Amino acid sequence: MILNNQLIVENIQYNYAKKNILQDVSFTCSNGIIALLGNNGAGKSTIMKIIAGMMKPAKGKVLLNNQSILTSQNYPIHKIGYLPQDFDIYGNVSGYDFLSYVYDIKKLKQPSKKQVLDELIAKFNLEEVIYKKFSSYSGGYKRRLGIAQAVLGEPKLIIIDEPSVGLDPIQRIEFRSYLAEISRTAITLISTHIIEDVELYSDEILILREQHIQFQGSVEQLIQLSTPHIYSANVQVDELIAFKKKVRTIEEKRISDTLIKVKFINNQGETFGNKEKEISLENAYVYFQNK
Amino acid sequence: MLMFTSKINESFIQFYDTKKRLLKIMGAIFVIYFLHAFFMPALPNYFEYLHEKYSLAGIDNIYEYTLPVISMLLMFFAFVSDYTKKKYELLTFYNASSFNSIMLFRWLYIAIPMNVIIVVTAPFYYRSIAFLDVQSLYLSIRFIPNVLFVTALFLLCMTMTKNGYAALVVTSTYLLLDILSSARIFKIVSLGANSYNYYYSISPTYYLINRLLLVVLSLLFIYVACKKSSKVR
Repeated sequence: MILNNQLIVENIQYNYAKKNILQDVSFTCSNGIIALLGNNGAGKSTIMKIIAGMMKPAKGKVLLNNQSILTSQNYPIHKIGYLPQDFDIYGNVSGYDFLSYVYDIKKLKQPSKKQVLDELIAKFNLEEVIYKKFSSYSGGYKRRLGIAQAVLGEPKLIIIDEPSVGLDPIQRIEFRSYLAEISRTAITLISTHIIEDVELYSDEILILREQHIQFQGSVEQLIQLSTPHIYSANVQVDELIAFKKKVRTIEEKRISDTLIKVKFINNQGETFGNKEKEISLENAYVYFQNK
Repeated sequence: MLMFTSKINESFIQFYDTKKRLLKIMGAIFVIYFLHAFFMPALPNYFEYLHEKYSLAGIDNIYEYTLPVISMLLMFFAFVSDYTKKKYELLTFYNASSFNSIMLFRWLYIAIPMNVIIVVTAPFYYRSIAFLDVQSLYLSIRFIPNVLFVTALFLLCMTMTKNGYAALVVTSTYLLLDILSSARIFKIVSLGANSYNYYYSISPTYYLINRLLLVVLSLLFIYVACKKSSKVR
């Protein structure tokens, strides 16, 4: 039986150098992939680091299954997995020694460390490199080892900061399928500014904007929200610049040598263009950031 | 502490000291110091010179400055990569408490063996003055504050600047200025209280305060470094 976990983030406020980075950030989520979206500098990594216990909020609390994780005597590393944006370990350490270290430091209770590690290594296809030095790993193997250490011990919450940065398209696909698998039994909180990462796999989206969580819901809900406001028009190439001055463009696509399809936000009741029917998450997200 | 349980020790040392390179290097240093102490002992009339208020830098420097310099280089070797490519983020995550006991362990992993080198080899070095008695012990333990202080200062600078190279520059500058000024610049917080004969040339109290202050500051530096590099709760 898969237990449903619950993460409650309540009124988090974080200031840096007298600047308000996060203001009353609150959300609740359960098992699945929760994608935290926001522009660069919006404070995504700050939220992730606060939940990972590495930054102290000015106020607010974080509860995992109704237990405060920021105020308890010891941060529950055995219940939480963390993969930072710049995952790196000592170059001369082998992947196996690193996983062994994480197993011990998490004080895991499973009977056989070797069995647990062997299963994990097989699950993430690390057999080929696991006894080699970390410095010899390719970007894809490094990321696989990173996620393997994060899921070691079957944590209830997995925090992954910018999961697909530095991965090639094939590695991204592979990485997304790993995320989909682990998120069935754990809350998998990922922060990203790459919309493509979340479109297929995320169960819920959080949009961080202007220090607040301004949207929480599914991909479909975000698209529905933006549908009435996104229009498109076919514009001659030589008229494009003038057209773009009149509207807030969210996507351009060349459809012939002389025509470009422009999707734009119709906030002020412009009379030109038609309501767009094919709206992607990226369109909806750009609309939301610009509305 | 977490990592002092035998189960964790094995993987812990394998992770932070792959193939026990640091231990092997410290073992080699021990052998070199032992051979040096065996073949080049201190002068028999060491105390007479001290009473005459001579500075015996040439005799004491091997423990007073050389060993602290080696300790600092070992600290650099052990910690420098923590702050490249933000490795410290994951290391900090895996330290569960608001005091970085992992860092404390890693410091002790170098500080203890280096002090063992002092305690074991210095009595041989000073054997012509005193041997296997209380005085012999005093002659050796008086250098312990130096290793503690230099390694603690390095660790503090590194956690403050998040840069091992910056810590190396600061600690080396301190050592260099102290050596070049014959322990005059830093006075009460100088390492050279033995080499420059504070006990007889200034006063026994001043000498004791210097030694005690270095130990207290070392502990304070370590505490601040371990707090600063811990989970912030």
